[in-house]
Amino acid sequence: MDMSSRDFDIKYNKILLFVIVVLSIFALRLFYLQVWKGNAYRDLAEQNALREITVYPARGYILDRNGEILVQNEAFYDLMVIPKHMSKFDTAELSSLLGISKADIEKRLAKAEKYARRLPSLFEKQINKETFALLQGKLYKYPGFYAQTRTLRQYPKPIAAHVLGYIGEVNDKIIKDNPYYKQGDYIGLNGLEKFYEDELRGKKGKSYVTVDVHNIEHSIYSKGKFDTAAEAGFPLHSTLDIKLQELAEELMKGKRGSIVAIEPETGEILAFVSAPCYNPNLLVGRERGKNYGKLYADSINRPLFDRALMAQYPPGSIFKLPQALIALQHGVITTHFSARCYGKNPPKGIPGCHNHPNCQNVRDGVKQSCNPYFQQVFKKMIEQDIHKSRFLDARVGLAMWDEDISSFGFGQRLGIDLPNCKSGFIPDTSFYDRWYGINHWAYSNFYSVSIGQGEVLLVPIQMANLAAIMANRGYYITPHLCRKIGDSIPDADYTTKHYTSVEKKYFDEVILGMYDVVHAAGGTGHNAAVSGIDVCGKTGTAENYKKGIKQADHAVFIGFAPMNNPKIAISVFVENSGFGGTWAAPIASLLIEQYINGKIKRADLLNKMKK
Amino acid sequence: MKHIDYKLILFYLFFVVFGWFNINSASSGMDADAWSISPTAIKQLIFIGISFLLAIVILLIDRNVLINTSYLLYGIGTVFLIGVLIFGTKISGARSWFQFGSISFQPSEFAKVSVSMALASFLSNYHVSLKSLKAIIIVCIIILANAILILLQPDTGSALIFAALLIMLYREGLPGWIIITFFSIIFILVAAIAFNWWIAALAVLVITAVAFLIFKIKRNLPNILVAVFICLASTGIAYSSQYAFGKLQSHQQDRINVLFGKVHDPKGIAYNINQSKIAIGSGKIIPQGYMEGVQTRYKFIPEQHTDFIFSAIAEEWGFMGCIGLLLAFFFFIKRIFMLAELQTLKYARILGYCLGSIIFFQVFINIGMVMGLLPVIGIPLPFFSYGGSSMICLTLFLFIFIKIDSQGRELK
Repeated sequence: MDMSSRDFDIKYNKILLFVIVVLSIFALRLFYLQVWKGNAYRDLAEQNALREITVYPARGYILDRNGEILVQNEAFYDLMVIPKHMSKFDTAELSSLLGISKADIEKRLAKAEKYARRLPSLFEKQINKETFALLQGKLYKYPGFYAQTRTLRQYPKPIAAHVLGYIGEVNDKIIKDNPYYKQGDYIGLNGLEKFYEDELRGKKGKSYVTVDVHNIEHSIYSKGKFDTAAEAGFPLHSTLDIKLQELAEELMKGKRGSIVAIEPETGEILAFVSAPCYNPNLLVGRERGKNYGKLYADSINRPLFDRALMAQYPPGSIFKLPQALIALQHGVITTHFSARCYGKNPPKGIPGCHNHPNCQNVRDGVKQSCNPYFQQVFKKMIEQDIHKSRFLDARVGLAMWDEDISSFGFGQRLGIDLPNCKSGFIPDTSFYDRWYGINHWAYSNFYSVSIGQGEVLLVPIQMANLAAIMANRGYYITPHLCRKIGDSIPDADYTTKHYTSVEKKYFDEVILGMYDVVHAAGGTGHNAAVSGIDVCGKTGTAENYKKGIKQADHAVFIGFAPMNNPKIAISVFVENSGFGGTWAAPIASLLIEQYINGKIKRADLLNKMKK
Repeated sequence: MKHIDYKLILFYLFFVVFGWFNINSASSGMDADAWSISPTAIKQLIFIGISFLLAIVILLIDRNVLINTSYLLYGIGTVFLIGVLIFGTKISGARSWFQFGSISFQPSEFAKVSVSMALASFLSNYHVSLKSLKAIIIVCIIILANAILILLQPDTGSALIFAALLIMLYREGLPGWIIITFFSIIFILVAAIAFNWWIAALAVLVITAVAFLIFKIKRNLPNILVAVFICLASTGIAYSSQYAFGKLQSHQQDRINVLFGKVHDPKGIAYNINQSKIAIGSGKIIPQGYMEGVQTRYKFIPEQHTDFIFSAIAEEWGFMGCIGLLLAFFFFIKRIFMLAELQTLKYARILGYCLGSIIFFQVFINIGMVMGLLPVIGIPLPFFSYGGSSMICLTLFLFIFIKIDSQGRELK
């Protein structure tokens, strides 16, 4: 017994030793995992369970110059579904609530199921408030479904589509070029929305939440200690006057062309219309793609095409204003320069004209818009007898003229705060060298430029800017649409005066001519008169050709009012509407009346112009 | 009652209560606060209640009644194991459960108790010696009759538990060479599966050489014959192991493969172990506290409240908590073995060794698996893992031993 009891003790000890060895190995293993590698494993655990969530900021509103809302955000609802959490539900009811067919519901559920059973899928996007109100109360009947709010743009008044532009989902290229954007984000694609994208979009925030093994979000991590809040986009105070804009769009209904109205002193654009226009609400929401396609496909009206910035026209007679000014500045004519008019059947090298008395001075020339008069004025400018050769003489003259005309902002892109703007065209010496051969051209080759025909092309915004230059007597501030964004002024250029090379004193006589255009007997723009306001203006009628066939003339009117201390400068361009006095001038007058008087008394004229 | 070993009961209560909190943490809803109780934890609470009642009942029964019903219980256990193969419900590929409505019962858990009691009864006969071949064969029959039935379910893990009884058999005088043989076969099997048959064959040669040297020094002829037997048998196993491996269930193949890194994450089987290791490691040194583990909280470990409960403990209680738990298990097991040694009744000593061995073996396999040291084998952590059968049967086992021990002290 003694032997065996000692034997037992030895085995007992051996067994305990075995237990100790095993548990010690475990302790070492735990030391390795928890102490040695503990930090690394803790990181892995947090990577497993932490998810960064983007918090979307509210996009900045766009307001008019008086603080009225042009663009706001509206809450829409996306209906999401997590197939795993779904149970049987009344398909018929859901179908009638959402207005989608039962078959469609089945199809969408199958798609969601295929995408991921445990993750949310988009079931129906952008449900409006009204529909959602009906749905909300019944959502409890549909386990697995839930609504997610999203904001979309909303336009209280369906105006200014070309100015405001639109937003849309980013595409792969944008994401690649700019890492700020992620799939599903919205970005301004046109207009102010595009130009001021960085300011309007605000700053996305981050929020950290914990997720479980199925990637389902649970609670906020560390009570939001590491979260950054989203910063809302800045509100954009635009220069537009909502009433003027509305009226201008109404007046352009059924017509093609553009209106640009500028406050001359500041360069602020008061109204900006390109007709035909479209309702900006069309490019929001579920029907966006369909509507965009329709607008894009309308090749006759081209509603997406911004005529005010992108259409280039021969300016016609309004071009006579800078012609007179440049000639006066160079001293090649005086204000008393006179020229003979040959009427409708002029000799070769002289443009035809309507029947009117010969012009005795510059003021008269502008008033009567005499073509031969300005042919002579421009001839004086181009042929200054510096060279004996008329070819070389024209080269020198054109080069000088070119420099001056460019100072009016022609032939170059105006720095407007919209994404796309054409520059128009001003011919220069190298252009004619290419066209006719070096020094193989003289004044006779391009005299029609004198009256705004021929090679010269302007964009409507440049025409309006010309009106502003006239109003300011010699300078312009780059036309722009944003007064301030948040509390800051967008660009120093929008407070800088750009002087033309023509001195202020030369403007007076020309402006008197513009006054006569509207107010004096024999003026071409009587229709632009507004009682009680001194309106200065200039009509234009631009000949134009399409595929070599002469089309009905484009009508243009530019002007400003009042004559002293002008408040508004305007250009109205109506395609293929004939003489500038018929349509363009009265439209301008109504807008001037509206802007200066705040209301329109001439209801009959208004109705006539609207048709 | 005053002779009851209260230290064992205190250990037991500590395991059960601490275990319950960890089950609640591992099974709670992800947004639950510290006061919420998960449905799983409530069920476990019921199992604990039943266990406590059962424990009290056992303490009221005379130990001789318990001892005398050993064979009867073994018979009942065996009938259960046969019954479960016929009437059992198949859950994840194994027919291991009796299901009565919402209540289910796993007879293999009960078999641990009944087999131990039957072995204790048989080996406590004064004329039985483990030196005799006959006794060894009877012991093998008692164990294998149940183990094979369990393997048929198939539940390799539960069947493997009976290997724990080698510790008891060693204590009761089973010759060392049989244990060496057993582990050699296991080693060669694993080596053959993990590597190639020729590596296994090499292992056989080395083992044979070592065994031969040992026994040659001892100059014990029968043992040399035994060594030759080992050599032949294990070589045969090595050659056939490739074939045998093909017969294993595919998830077992994967598990063994993953353990040895032979196949890199074939079907996401390594996922469990990987997540479990992250959970353990992220526990670091200082306890994070109840319901604070990220991995546990967000359910990154499947089956965490059952077989992987140790990962929840490790994540929330850190290295300090784990070492505390290992120490608690060590002193618990040590106390069982020590009490077993103190028994005057041979039956009681054998039963104590069975209990200690099984608990130790389950701790060994379970924690080893959760830490990525052993293959993934479904064995619960005693008193910690969720599950009624395991909790109730181990409580039954423990309290039978406590009762027999306390009555033994009364007689002294």
